[in-house]
Amino acid sequence: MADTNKRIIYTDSNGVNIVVPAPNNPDLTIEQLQSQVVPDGVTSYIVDKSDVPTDRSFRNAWTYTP
Amino acid sequence: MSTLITTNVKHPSSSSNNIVLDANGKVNALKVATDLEIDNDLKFDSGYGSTVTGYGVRAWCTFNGTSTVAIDAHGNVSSITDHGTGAYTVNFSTAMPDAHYAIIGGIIGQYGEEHTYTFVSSPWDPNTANTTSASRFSTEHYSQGYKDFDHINIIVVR
Repeated sequence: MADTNKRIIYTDSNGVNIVVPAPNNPDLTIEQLQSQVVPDGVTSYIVDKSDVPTDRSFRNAWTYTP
Repeated sequence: MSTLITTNVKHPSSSSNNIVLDANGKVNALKVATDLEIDNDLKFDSGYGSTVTGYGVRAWCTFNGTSTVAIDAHGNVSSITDHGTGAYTVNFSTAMPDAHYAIIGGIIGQYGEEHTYTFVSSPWDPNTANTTSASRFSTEHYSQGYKDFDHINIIVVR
């Protein structure tokens, strides 16, 4: 099951994209989800949900450094 | 090949017939305990006035777009991608047969705000168009532009 306490992060020309796994998807791991939804050739990272800020006041200005 | 001629089929422990056939050869009553799979169109009346093909909701999702973005409940959704303020993509668990589906969204705004919101699906979004595996959309406020909302509901019909 894709761990809902994880997030997949990748960046593109528009900024930081964060993939939020759906609960109750028993046939899909977070790594499988990563391979499905991240655009080809783009580097992505799996992080803890708690690493993502909850204050979205300046969401479009976010950057990510692993 | 042999033919079984009967009108009723009943399990020994069932109190009533499980399958009842009428004189036209149609199933008059059918109870299905688990999944029912139909390889062709599903046609039904259910008060519509005629028996025609019904079209199903192929995916649905309700999620919180504020604070820690999280999916509350869903069907056929693998994930939501948060692209930024009021900008998301819904990713399907099982892909659509083509990209010509309808996606409809609704927004419940925060208490006390002016309730004029817009859900914009990708054909009108310059960033991307629908694909068989995902659909991008945005949630917007009439005067504030792209905006996060705490209850975003979407359905996909095909």
